[in-house]
Amino acid sequence: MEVPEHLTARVVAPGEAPLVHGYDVQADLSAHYGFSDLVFLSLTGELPEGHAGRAFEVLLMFAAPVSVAEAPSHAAALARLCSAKPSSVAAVAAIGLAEQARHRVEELAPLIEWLRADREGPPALAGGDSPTARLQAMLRACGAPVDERDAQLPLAAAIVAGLWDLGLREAWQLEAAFVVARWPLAQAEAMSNTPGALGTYPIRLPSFDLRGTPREP
Amino acid sequence: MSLDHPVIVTDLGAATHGDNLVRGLSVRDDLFGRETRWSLLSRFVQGPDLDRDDAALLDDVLVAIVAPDPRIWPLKVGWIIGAYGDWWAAGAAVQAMLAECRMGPWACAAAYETATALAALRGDDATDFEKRAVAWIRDQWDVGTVVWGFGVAGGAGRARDERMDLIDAAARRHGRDQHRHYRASLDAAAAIQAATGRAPNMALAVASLALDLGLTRAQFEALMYQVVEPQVLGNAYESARLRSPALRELPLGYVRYVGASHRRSPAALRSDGGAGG
Repeated sequence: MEVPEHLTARVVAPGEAPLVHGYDVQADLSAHYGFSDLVFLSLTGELPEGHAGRAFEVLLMFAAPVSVAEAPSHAAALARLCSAKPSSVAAVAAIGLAEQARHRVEELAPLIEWLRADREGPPALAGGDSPTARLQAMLRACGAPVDERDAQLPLAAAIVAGLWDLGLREAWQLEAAFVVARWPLAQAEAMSNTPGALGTYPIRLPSFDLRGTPREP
Repeated sequence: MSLDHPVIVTDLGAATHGDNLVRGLSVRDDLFGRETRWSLLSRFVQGPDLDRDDAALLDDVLVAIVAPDPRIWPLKVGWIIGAYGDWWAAGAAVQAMLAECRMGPWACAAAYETATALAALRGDDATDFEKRAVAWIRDQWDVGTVVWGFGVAGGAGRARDERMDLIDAAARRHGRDQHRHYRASLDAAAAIQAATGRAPNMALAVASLALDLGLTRAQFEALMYQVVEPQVLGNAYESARLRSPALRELPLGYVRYVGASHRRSPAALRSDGGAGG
């Protein structure tokens, strides 16, 4: 039986002058594009054109802030407090963000169906507020077309709608965009903690009702 | 251009026609019906041959030290990640954080050094051993050395590690309580606690049993992960089952921000003509 003798690469041509989807990273992309353009290229196979590059960057920025109240940052911070090494903290943050992104995209399934139907009918979600309005203002400022119906969406959904309009239609693309945007902030937040300073951690947040255990006074 | 074809040499495992090999032994002919989980694990990490009584000892140790309270910090990490519904990811996160983490299997493995030192200190002459052990540990503490295997977490409500009694019962049940490292560790620990007030923890007891089984430090750490893994899995599984929204995101009122104050970027200031503030 013949077995392959090579690993197949389709995105990154390795070597001293690596290519990403055919473009020379060092001589071409680094001279003419920004990092978010490289992310866009990685996820879609093509460089952003016109307003799309700046719009994608705006969407990533709006997606980026991940609070320590959110599971990925919370777990990574606790790992750091437990004196886990930085690479382990990074792994916890990455696993948490991947799970958060998966969960978010799954929960937004009604939104994605609505987008797939060209936004026909009422929006699948409601709750548009100031952050969504600010996102739409920023997208307009960079020349991106903005669908007024998205104003009624909560921010996370509006971001997904924006990514959808830029051509990120597969779940893995949407999830990857969130992970890329958020990971540096989750890691930084976690690493801002002092290893071993477990006295600073609110162990009762949230509380556990441990059935069969006498309640503490 | 011809390439050097990389070859990795290992006898860990091999699939053959109708059988599998573990370190050259046939699952079908050599291991099935004879091997236990612990002997198989030891074989995987190139550890000593563990018989059924060794395995029974490790089973007793596993149960003796089980501490599945979700508030235990590494287990809490599993709860937080597991809140999205996937216990595999939650378990992976806990396993990732335990690498060289100063609690859990790594800390137990660190106690291996303490147990080794205490047995060496006793040597073949137990004369004044307890006194020498107290002097030894004071010397370590005087220069700031952490002596793993001593100290009990949990504040004033937990003056001793309650698991020590169960581990001792397991050691006696399986005839290990007089073995070299275990005896030296426990005798030294009693004297050290009496002299200094610092109680031993289960890591010292388990590490000394591991030494008497013939495990190296690295092998012991790997097997210790298997000892704690049931409670990691249990908590991850439970969290994935319950999918707590509170663990996915706490109300922002519970966050106290102590970072940089609000400030405007140089670009924003330039675009305002410097008039912003």
